[in-house]
Amino acid sequence: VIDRLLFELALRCYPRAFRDRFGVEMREHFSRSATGKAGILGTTVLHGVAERWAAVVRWCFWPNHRHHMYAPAGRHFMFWDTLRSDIRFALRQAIRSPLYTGLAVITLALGIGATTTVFTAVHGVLLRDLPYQAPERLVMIWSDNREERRPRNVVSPGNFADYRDMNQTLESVDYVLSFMISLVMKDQEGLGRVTAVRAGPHLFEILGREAMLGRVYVPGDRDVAVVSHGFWTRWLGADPRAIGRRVTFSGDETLEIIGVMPPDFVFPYASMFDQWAQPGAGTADLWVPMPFEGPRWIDGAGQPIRNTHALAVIGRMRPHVSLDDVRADLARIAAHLEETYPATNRHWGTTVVPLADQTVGRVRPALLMLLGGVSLILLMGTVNVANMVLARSVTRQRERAIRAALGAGRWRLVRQALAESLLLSLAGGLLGILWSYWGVRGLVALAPADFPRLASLGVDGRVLLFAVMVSVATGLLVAIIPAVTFRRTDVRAALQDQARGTTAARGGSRLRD
Amino acid sequence: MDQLRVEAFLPLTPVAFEILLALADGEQHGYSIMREVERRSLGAVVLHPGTLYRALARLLESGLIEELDERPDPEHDDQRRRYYQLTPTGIAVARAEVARLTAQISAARQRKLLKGRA
Repeated sequence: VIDRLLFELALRCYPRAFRDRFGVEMREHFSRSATGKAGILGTTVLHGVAERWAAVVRWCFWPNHRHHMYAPAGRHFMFWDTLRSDIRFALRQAIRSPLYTGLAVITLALGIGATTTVFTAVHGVLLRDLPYQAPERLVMIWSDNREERRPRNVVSPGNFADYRDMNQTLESVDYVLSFMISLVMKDQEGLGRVTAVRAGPHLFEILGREAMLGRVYVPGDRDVAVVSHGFWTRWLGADPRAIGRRVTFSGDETLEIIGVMPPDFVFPYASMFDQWAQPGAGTADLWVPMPFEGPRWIDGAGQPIRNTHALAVIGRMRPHVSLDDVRADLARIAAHLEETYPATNRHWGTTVVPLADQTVGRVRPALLMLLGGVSLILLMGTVNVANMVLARSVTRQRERAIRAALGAGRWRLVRQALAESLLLSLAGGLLGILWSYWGVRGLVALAPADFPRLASLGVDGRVLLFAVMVSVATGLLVAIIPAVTFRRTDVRAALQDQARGTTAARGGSRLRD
Repeated sequence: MDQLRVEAFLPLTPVAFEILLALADGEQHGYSIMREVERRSLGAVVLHPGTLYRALARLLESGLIEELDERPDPEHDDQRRRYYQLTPTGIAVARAEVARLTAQISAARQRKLLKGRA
């Protein structure tokens, strides 16, 4: 249904005569090919729209007045012809007063650029999905240390095992050692320092990501490592045959490399470990499975240890289960554990945090405040430019009066003003996008090192769309103030008044072109 | 046929030439033109509706093709379909274009860009 709607919209971009003649055929064509393969919609719609708009722009600036059966006619012709003359006039006005134009464009560019830069960060850090499958169903589970008021305390092996076995709301749940380990690689090419994460066997199943090369580890794998794309290019020369190679690390630990993750895969972000992350640990290069065994996990009596807390716990909620369900479920388990193991579990509850909140929750207020701040700067810039336009519009009163006297309606005058301010704001937007391209790098360089997700920031389609929308909104805002003043134009008074004034010469010269 | 009038259309755009080629075997409707072009080029050339019908409009206007009044196959008929065929001018222009391309190809042969006898 949406396909059809978009197609109809694309059809609207063609002149009516063309639509009347070919619309039926094109619809049939579309309905036949749409069933065939996916993706035809995008090309069809974009093709129609892009081609049509290219034709319009071409025709606006390089009109050929040869007769064409499907050229816009009548009202449509008027519309495009008016648009063309508005744009041409606006361009000439802009070129005639370069100082004014330059100031306005730079003011708007600064505002739009700053807003776009910060929006890039907001989009990249807060709005974009984490690089895991269905990330909205991922949660972090912490122990709530009520006595010491630490709601996000790392979890003990014993409690983890009970959460895993007793919960009814999680599809799967697993642990990650809450600190990354720096390993020295004893490679033939010298010593390299890499960062390893040790985690439970179900980690990749929970995150729902596959390896780019080779495979991820699964339960039962021992002495293997999945490596990051960065590790693969830096230390293995991006060699596809590196799968299966054995690498020896400090402590004479030899690991077989079984898979390479895609470049966009990052786990964990430092903020996922909350206060337990060691500063400057960087991103993980290796993921190594860590079995649930040994003296650190299980005591002499064969019971999992409850008095050492070292695990970060990540889980995937079952479909159609709400966060509150999970919280209630785990609170029930925690209460049960408090009763069963009073020595170790008294005053310990659980805290469940959505993974996205855990990752970027701390920086959200700061980023949003920054966005608010730059929006205000943009607003101030807009008002300033609107003031300039207003000041100029006083000197151009005579021009407007003449236009009105020649029969221009108010809408026609507003359209002219809109064309001028949109031209300014779009030029400012273009410059602003350029500027934000560097601005983003500056922002990344200035931000604290443990700021999550900044490394992958970039200007993408959504950011561009945002910038264009901001530019258009700015242009409209700039046009509104002078447009309101048009209402008060008294044609006769303006003509008589200004004919004697000093600006008459300028008005006259404008008339002559 | 006025030779000057034919030459005025040359060179044809690739899309226009594809359409004239597809119509050389006989009348077709818009969708089957697209299918034919796709089939002959082994999927390399796909005429999207926007391109196809704008090109058809241009060809119709310049009189290289025309619309059929009667419907060729009554069994598979569909009221929405319109059939197109080449006009004599269209045939002449297509021939002239082929001649032009042939001349180019033999020039390429002479300069050893293409294998085969010059």
